[in-house]
Amino acid sequence: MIHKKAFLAVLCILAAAAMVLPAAGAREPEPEKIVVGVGGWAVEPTQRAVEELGFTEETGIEVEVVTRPGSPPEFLSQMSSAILGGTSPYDVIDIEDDVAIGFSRSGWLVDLDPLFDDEFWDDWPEAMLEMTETWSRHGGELFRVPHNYEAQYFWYRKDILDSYGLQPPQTWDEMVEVGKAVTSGDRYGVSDGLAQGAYLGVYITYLTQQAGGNVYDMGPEFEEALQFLYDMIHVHEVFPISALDKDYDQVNNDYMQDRVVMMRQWPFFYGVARSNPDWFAEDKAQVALPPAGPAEQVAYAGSWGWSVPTTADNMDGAMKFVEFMSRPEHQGPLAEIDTWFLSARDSCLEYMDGRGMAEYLELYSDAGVIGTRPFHPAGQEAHTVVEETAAAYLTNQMTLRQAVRQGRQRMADLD
Amino acid sequence: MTAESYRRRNTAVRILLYLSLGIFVFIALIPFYWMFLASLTPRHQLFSIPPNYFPDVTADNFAALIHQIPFIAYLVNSLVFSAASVLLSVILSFLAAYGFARIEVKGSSILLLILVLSMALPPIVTVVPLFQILRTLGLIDTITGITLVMGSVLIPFSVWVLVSFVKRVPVEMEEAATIDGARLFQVLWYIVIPAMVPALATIIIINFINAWNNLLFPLVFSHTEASKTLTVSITEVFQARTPYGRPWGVISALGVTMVVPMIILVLTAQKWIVSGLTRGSIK
Repeated sequence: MIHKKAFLAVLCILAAAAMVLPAAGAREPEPEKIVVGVGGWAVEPTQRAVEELGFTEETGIEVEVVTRPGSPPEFLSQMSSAILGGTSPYDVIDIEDDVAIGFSRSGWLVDLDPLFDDEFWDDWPEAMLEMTETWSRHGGELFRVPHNYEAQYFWYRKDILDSYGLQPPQTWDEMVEVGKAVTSGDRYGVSDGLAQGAYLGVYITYLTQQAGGNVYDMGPEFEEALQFLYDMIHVHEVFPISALDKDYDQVNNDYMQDRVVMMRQWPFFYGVARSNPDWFAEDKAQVALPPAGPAEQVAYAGSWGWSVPTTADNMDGAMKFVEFMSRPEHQGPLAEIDTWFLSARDSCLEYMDGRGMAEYLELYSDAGVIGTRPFHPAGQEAHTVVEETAAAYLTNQMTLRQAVRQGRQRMADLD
Repeated sequence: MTAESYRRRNTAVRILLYLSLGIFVFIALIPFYWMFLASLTPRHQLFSIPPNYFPDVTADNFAALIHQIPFIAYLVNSLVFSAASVLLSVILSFLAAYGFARIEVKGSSILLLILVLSMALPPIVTVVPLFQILRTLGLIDTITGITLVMGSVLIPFSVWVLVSFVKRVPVEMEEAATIDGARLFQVLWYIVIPAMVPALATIIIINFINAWNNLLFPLVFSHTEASKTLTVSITEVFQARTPYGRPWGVISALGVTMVVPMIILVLTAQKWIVSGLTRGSIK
């Protein structure tokens, strides 16, 4: 039998080794620099922006641009433990609306107002200011400075409409009529990504706004929007039922395989269409103003922007970076580097002069059709209620009245 | 029952068995087939209707993967992290299991029970205190840090499994060796470990797969390519200059690069795993 003392001695040796091991992994503190966390798609453009605009030359601060997790749940997992642990992997983060709401309500983001004087906001159009007020301020503090302005666009196949002698629809009714004219075989007039888990809620929000309501109120406008979509799918049959299972990639592919003639999509489709040279032609991916609903012609915009965690290691450097990247004179060059930085700020649109995606943003901005994304303090939970209510009706599991009644109750429970 | 009818029935049962197995294997392999197919399919053919089972073959998805992430660094980190976690967890678990099995201490069974119950703790609730500990030790964003965490997570299950295997090694063999002058390490090395090779091999494989596939700890405790692993890259790959859409082709390519080493590992150690699992279930 082995003696207890011998066994304990072995354990002590191993414990001592475990104490020595960490020292080998400890790292020296970094020199003056900041770490900027952006989505993988924005790493290269941000690096280019830092180099071409001369941030390091001006401030002496080096910038390391790193990839942050792309999806909000994973990003939240990473940031929450770090911030609660009193630190942050990034000094500056590029965040979307959903994340911004959660982080700001948790008190994890620094007030950026002191960086800007009143004159700074003269560069911002009214719609962007309203969006910033709703989605980037909390408790009177500015916790995020948007660097882009992503409206939803109405894409259509000009080549197909031309072959039928049709113009892009101006209203919901016209959309149905045009849809009926061009739907044939496996080709549908209208489509969208309507899978649950963000996609369906976005489209219902868009339609409800066009009907004159706020989706989270679940009022008559919400019912009207649901009824309209239901009719397009089940009555007029101009919208594929399969869209209820599709995400944006799938509906984009349907569009590029000539199975869809019109769709609502975010600006990224501009690049997606052009990345498919075998299919792309200018008249296959044109943008028109959104068909007006019963109340108004509107398409809301979302945004991403710069924020600074309260636990940033280099707070001073982070604030300098945000101020630098938000300067009016940098907005045009930034948008030229990549459409990720395209916004409706006057300085940006003037500089871009209708080039690339700026043409369509200018079209929508000038027409005044860009609205503010509806806000609910419960964020994702409220969005889920909207989606489940809509799905219950659109898939014939409930009547409209039943689905909406249940939805209203669930929404009330969130308050 | 005649021999002929018995033979016929036996053949029918066999056919049914193989048919069932064939269907099961087919269903189990479909996701792998689809992943391999998607990884080799050009992006614009991925969603074609009807599905294209024999698309044009392209390496673009693998090229995009390597372009988008520091693939080699992540791969090396994954290998080092998994191997080190296995080494740490198996050595400590073996010693702990030996202690539980051989040293009679009051309350040791309760201690083992507590250790096993710690497996029920959701890992996510431990990340904040763990973060603070690693930060204090200066181990954030180091392979050492995530290895210590992963190793400690793997230990309870490993101890639980190994205790029963240690108990099955006849204690008389150890006593005989001790009488012959063997020290503790000699007893462990020459008597206990050889008798437990299948069990240890099984634990090594299981722990390696768990560490290799772990996302949470590298996601939370690793911030740069100095310690990020391949699993973290699934949160970083993208389709275009946009947050929208999922890069299914690139994700599939990543899946292939993560699954292939595991398949090779499991096939190589298959004999040991089966032997280890079945031995553990027999008294």
